[in-house]
Amino acid sequence: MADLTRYAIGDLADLGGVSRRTVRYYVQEGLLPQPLGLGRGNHYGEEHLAQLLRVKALQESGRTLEEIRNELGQKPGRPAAALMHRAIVEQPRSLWRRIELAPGVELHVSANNRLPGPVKLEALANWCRLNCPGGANGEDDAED
Amino acid sequence: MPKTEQETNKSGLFTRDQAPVPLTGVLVEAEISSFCARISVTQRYVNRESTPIEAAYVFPLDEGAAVCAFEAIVDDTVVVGEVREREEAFRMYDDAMERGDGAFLLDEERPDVFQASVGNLPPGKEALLKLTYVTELHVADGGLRFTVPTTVSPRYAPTDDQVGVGRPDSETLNPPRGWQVPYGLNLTVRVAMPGAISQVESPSHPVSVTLADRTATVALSQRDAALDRDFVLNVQAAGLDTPRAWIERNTDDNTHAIAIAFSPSWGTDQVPAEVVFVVDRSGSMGGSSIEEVRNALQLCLRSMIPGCRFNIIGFGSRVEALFPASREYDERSLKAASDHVAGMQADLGGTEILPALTFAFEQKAGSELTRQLVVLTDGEVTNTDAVLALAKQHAAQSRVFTFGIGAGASHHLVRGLARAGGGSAEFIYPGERIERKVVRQFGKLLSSALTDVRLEWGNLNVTQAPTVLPPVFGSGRLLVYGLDASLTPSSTVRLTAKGPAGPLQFDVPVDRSQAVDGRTVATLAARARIRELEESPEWVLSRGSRQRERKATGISREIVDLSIRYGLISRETSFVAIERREVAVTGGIELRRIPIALTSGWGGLQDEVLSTHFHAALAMPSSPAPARSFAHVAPTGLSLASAHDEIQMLKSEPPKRPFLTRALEGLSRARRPSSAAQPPGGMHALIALQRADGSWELTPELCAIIGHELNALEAALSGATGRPDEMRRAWATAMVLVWLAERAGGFEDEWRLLAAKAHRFLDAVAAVSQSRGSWFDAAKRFERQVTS
Repeated sequence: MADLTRYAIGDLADLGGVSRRTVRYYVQEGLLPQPLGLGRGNHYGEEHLAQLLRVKALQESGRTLEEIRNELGQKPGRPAAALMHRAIVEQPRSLWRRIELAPGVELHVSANNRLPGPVKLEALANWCRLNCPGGANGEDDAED
Repeated sequence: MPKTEQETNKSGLFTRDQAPVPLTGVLVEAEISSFCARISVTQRYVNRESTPIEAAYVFPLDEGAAVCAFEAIVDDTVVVGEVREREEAFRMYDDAMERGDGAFLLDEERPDVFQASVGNLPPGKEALLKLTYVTELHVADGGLRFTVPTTVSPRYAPTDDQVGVGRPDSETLNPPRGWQVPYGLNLTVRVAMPGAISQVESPSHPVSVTLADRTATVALSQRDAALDRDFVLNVQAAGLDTPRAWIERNTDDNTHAIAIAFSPSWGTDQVPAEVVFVVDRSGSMGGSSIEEVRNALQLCLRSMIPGCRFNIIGFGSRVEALFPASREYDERSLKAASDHVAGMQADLGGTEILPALTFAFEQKAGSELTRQLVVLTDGEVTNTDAVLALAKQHAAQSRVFTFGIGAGASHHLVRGLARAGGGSAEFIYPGERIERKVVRQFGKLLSSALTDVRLEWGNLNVTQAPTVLPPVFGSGRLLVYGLDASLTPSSTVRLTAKGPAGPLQFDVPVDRSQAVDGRTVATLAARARIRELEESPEWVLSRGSRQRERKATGISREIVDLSIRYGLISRETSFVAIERREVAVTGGIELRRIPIALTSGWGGLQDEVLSTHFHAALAMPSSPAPARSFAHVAPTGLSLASAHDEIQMLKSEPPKRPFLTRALEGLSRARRPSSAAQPPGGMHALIALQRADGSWELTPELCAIIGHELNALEAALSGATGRPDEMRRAWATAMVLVWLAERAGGFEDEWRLLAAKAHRFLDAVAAVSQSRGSWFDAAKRFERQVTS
């Protein structure tokens, strides 16, 4: 099943909630495996998405790239498939993705699980901004 | 970590992957007018590998640069770049590479740090990247200073800048570095001034100058110079201070843009202030930088006036203050500060400038005096946005003046901090004369600036940039822009401001017939507005902690709109150019990050290199090489792949400074390619002897400097009345003032402040001179008698 999933780089970036630059950067740094296929047939699979979410969550938790590389047990540019697999399969500690709604107010979404797509997430965030105190027109004392 | 012999020998000549460096040379061509400079930078890339490559080059530009054109030249075909929103530009670039086309991208990482990417360059191919920018010129005291930065110094990244999703700033701003890189710089500058040019000099490079009244042509004496230090050109010319307007018409849409320059002057009195020196003592300030800091601080300490309060705060990884709180400026505190400065070292570790500034801003006010921060730094940090935001936040209570130190100081931080703090910035290049700069800064710091500065455009309808004008000081030029101007045949633009003695106004006439076709003014105007937006607290906050999702703000959209409409790059936009290929180039593309040269003198490291080249330097004592120009000649067997780690490693053994090195530094200074005359010996010794109240003691040391016998001067005091110690001080002070006027008259702008302080001492002193007239006149008479 997973083998059949094919993501173009733009889709992978959208699903992972990162920019396309970030996907390229992770690949350059060996934090993500090389894409599958060559040239125009270039694509990414389910395992890329899982690894992307994992690296991103670690970065969001305040880990430096150096620490993440150590954690994933790999050297830059030399992803070892077995270690990578372990990193993906083993359950990480609780990690949260944070979305700012207003200065001082954040929406926290678990990053351990696969997130809803960015469009849905943004719609949720916008709903919160409109409906929560200190949101869009926040005049409460919610200052940074 | 230890390197193999093979690796060390290749330092900088190869990329980190041991592939040949694809960048082969940089050409800079600049045209300077009285108001702005237009500069084009051409980078030549060649792929000498057997696979297609992507080359990424991180390089600096002037922090005020408005990059308004970007093109790639491949096989005599010009591919013109366009401005797009930053991520969209990357998508276009990335898509083109996937298709097998050629792609070129220019990103602004900081207003003074850019990254060029050359994507999918086939084996054996060559590509030229050419970017053009315009920038304002900084005018002070009838001269202007033009700077072309050439390398990005290692930047200290606080913890916040090492984390966050994607590529961390600490990495983007710290590309691989080497002692030596295999590509060089060629540079020419054409200068056209409104009046006669009296001086053109470069404190940074040996140059050849062709001068013809109002124009000059400048070229580097050396071909392929090292890209390891800023190129600096100082031009003195008549007519730079004249207020005037420049009007340009955009022929595409028939809109007009106006630039107006004011150089207001008004009577200013010196007022005491609380001066808090904030001194960067991080590792990168080692060597010549900390030496410049010590010299500048000694001069600063003596430029304060009675009534001032002051403190000195040093920072690195921690903050150290000289006094627990600011102290009254008197003989005792001056002595304590002077001793403290004399022993000052760059020994406090990392560059945590944010906590240091917070500490300085939050010191308890011990008096009613205005607090003025004087920050001395090389500014090499990644968190410039946060630092500027902090200064802006405290701008109502504290002004910030800055000195940028070294051959590659961050202009963005040093100028930006002064801009945010309502003060002004000066740069001290290694070996450059600092006195005039210190006097200029203290002249501003101790005088009341014009505040509440506004522009009345009269019957002109324009969009002004920047919308809020900074305070104006005595010796500077203020440039204000108007976009989308509807012009009338003639009108007057008026600058109004609050001066120390009431409201002031200055007029500049605007005549429609002066309009010429062009876009430079509009570009600079748009750049001024974009900068204002990028430095606004709202924009900085929206970028905030990188752990959060960025929220697109109205400000971001305004930046993108302005940037696209006026065709210039910003933090929110990039230039992208796509070369359509008939035959796609496919296959794995290897990324090559171009190594850049370590800034000359950075952290004092090249002292070591200097000593190994002492003989070479001695063999050519009359050559026109500048100070330390030979420092880049040799790789020392050190690879600086990751500059910070390895420099830390190097610094764990303090650099030895053998006698020969010191001797060489002395030699280098003497050969500094400066056409400026040197002040008479003794002037600096006299400055160092001045007391806090502005007076001098009558001592044998002082007499030796001013060339008199102590007993002759004591004898000449007979007839004076008052307390003996006061009489002696008044007499010595008057004699020094006469000496300065007669022997160092050409350097008055360097001792003006000290002399003013001395005159105030003489005016207030109770002792009466031997002639019953002024002490100064008595001293002049004595001097005349002795010489006749």
